[in-house]
Amino acid sequence: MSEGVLTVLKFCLLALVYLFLARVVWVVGLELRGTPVAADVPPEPAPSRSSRRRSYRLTIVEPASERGSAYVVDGELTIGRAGGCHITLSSDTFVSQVHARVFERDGDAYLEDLGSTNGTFLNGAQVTETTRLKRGDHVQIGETEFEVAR
Amino acid sequence: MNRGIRRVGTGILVLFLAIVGQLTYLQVFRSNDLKNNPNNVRAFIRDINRPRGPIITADGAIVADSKPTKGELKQQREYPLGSLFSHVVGYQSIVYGTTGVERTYNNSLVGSDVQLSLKNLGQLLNGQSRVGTVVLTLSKAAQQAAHDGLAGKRGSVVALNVKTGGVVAMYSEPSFDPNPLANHNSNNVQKVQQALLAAPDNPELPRAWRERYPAGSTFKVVTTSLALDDGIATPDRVFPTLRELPLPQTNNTLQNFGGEICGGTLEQSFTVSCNTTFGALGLELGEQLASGVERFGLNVAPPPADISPSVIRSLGPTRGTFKDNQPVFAQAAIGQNAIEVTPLEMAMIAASVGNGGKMMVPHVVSEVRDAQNRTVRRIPPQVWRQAMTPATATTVTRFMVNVVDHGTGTAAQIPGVVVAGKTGTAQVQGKAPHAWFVAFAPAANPQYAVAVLVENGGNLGSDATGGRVAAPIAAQVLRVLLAQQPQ
Amino acid sequence: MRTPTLARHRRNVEITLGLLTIIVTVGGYVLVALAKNSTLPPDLYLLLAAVVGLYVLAHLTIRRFAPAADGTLLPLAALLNGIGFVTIARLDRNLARIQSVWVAVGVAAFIATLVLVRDSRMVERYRYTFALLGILCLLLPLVPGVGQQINGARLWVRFGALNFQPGEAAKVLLVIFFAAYLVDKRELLSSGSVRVAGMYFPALRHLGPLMLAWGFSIIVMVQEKDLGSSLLFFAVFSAMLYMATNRGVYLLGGLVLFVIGAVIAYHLFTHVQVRVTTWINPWPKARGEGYQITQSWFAFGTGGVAGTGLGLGSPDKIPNAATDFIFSAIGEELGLVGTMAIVLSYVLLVGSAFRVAVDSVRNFSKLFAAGLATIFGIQTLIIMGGVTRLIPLTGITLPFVSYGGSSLVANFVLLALLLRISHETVAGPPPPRVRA
Repeated sequence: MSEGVLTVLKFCLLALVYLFLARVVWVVGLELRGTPVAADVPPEPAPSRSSRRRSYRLTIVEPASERGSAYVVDGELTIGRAGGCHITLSSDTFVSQVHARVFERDGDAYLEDLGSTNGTFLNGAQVTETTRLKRGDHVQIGETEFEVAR
Repeated sequence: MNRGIRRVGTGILVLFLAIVGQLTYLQVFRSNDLKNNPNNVRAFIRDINRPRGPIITADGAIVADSKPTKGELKQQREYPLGSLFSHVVGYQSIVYGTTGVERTYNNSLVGSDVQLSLKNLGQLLNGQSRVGTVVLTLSKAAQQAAHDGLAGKRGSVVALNVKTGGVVAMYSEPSFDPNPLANHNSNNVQKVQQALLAAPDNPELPRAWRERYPAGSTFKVVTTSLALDDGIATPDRVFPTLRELPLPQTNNTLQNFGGEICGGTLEQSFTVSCNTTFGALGLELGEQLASGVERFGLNVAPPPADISPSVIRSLGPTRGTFKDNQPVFAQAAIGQNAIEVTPLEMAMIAASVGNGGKMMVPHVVSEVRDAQNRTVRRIPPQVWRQAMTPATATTVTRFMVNVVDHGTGTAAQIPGVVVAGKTGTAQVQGKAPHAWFVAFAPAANPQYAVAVLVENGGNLGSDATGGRVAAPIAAQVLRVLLAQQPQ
Repeated sequence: MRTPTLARHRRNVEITLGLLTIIVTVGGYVLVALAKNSTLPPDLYLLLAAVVGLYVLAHLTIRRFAPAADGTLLPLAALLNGIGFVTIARLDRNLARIQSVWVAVGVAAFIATLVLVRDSRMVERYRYTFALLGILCLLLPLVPGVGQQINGARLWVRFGALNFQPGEAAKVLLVIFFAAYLVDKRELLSSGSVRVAGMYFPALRHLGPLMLAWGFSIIVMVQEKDLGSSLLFFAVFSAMLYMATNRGVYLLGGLVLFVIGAVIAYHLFTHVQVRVTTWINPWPKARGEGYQITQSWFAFGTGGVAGTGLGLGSPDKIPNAATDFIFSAIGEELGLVGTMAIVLSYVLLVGSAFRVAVDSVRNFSKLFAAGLATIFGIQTLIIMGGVTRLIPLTGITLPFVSYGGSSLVANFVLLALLLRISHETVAGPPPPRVRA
């Protein structure tokens, strides 16, 4: 095989590699400009008025000093000691940084422990996997107890 | 968190730019340098398996050629002329790489020269041979004459085309046969190399451009030119007739050759090579001698010649040393002491006189041809420096004609041709003197210049003079060259 | 029910790019055989079938288990892997045979990861287990009888005929731990509660586990003479600390600790001194200790812009050309054009990985993806910088390209995790498994 032919083939191969890279750049560019992404993001269920009204709430029942404070779940609520949580329980040392979360899916609310040290309790039983919440359920995190309302 | 992530991401991308920069540096700017590093055998491994073009002399004799083999390595390099061109052309060895023209024109020989590739893009694709033929400026006839002239005496003959700087003969004795070094058995190659290194007189040394010698009286050509150019002397200036010249700063004297008494005009002094006259001129020139030799290419970077291994620098008295070392300058003016020159340099000096003072860059290759015998590259004549004025060159030529006509160099006469020359007998501590002769011819329209050096007087020993030993060799080489006319 | 067009678009990109990848890999393989023997490779169809089969398998797994994941990550990794395989095949056919088995194992690990890890929170939950496993993996080569010393570094574990580097697994495990731990403690680590010299520093007990895992891994790796991995861990963890907290002081602190560590290592270990002196000037020892790096430079220089052509150079002159120095081998035969393509591939791969991190919604996924992206990036930089003599050489593989099973498998697992996170960003976490 002559060296010349091999040289030409080598450049063909490299051209293919660059064609590949150009295509990747093009695809990334499209996504960055948001063209397909904006159009293609799975349609979020429209936050209709009825669903908003039916949104779950967490109301604090213990400790007494906080009783009555209510939090609307509205998609997702994270509970923990960290400042970034929706509900920050900073003074409670039994609470992990990001302790648990409550989220809504298809109109239902679920409770999930996020690997906390001292556990999350639903009606007195420790939560081991994501569990659906009903109205009137009691959720215990550290020294704080919530009641589920809607 | 996104801000931190973006920053780290950007930081990593910036570091990739550093890699891009380094790769560009290595693969673009340092590429040639790395390709040619002596520790890098890659190009060589690649070349040794490729077809390789022949190297031929100006008169058409093949110096080097490749034959396909059935062995592991696909090509065997052969040198039909053996030791005649081995210093200049070199060899291709699997152990020691390439040397000489094989090295400097490697790209042309394997056909990777840009000019060869572009012109032959068609053949590149259909796989035809695209190797180049390298044509030397040297001719086999002149080289043979140089070889025969030296006749086994240690020394060197360099002949140049006066107008172009092309080297037409460059032979050093002893030489060596490159064929065993191009053998594919690396054990054998190493044995041969060991034997060459152990051999007397170092046959692998290209004396013509890699060894320095005292120039002796041939250097008076330079002293005379400087004195004329700097207005220190005219041809008719009369110098005292002396047996010896007292030297300042010492009790020593500068003696004439063989204890003769000589003097008279500058022209007469040159013809008989009168040391006392030129010693006195050296003292008068002083610092001007040190600065002047640089015009002739001494004490400066060697010329950019296509010769491998590269030409070494020739030496003269250094600037700023006259005040404290005046005797050195008197001796340097007659080509002793601080003067150490290569035979090639002396040939260039002689050629510059014949070329109106213009010193050319020497080169050993005239052109490169492609596989279809079309010339793809010509090595153009290139002026290196102006050694003297044209007027001075004319005067010095006259002086040199006198030398051959009725002075110390009569042995260099060629019937029907006016030869200009200068003898030299360079004293060597504890050994017989080196015999020198530099010349060019025809004097009226100079074509070729030649420098002959015979180490330690050859077989004449201490009775040797440049006129007796070196001049006949120069005449023989010039005769062969002029007989080849027109070129 | 809803087939998001983004997912469809991304999968289509993946398959079309995959086609190019397959052509490049098989084409390169053919070119090597043509250059070396002037014939087509005898096992051409076997290779073609294997390349197509593995790629399609990986693609279908993504289609089924992470349909909305980024569409450029797999093709980029496959391209790099393909070019790497061709280069290995060109250097040593026996190594290529082993490498082909490892590629298959890597793709299997990739598929298994996508199938098993349906939810990135799964890995978050087992952070301490992973940390422990990671440290065990690091320690394994030091256990007498099991550990093997190869090329002066003790990083290998031998089980029967199988050699592997558990350090590669540790890399993945420890990044998971760091991401999870940092997300947990990031508020504390970024605010600081202990005041020293006018600056707030987080309490030691929060930094403790971090420093412990960090210091431990580095001490172990220095013990195993694996400088490259030590440097990688150091850089990646400093970067993750910084990304989690947004506090430059961690980056600065990491740098200061690194310089101190480097100086200590220099004075303690002769092999570190050798590395540094050959980095500063390898030429006097071009036939000795500097041989490797000078040969690497020669490879790059000889390659020049266009390269000598596949199979036409002498990259086998560089010791370890198939592992640490594979980039030099590519530089020699494909030239600057080739090396730029490789660098660009990594830039795009790392860039895509960072995009996955930025787009991700959950903090853990974000930091984890960013950590994985940083690993790819820093590891590539360390070895590319090493073989081009930009930094002292520390032996480490070029991700996806170098010969080496453990590293390849680990990188395929990293890739799968990135795709998982990318998918979740678009499609959300999988529907919860509801109790009762």
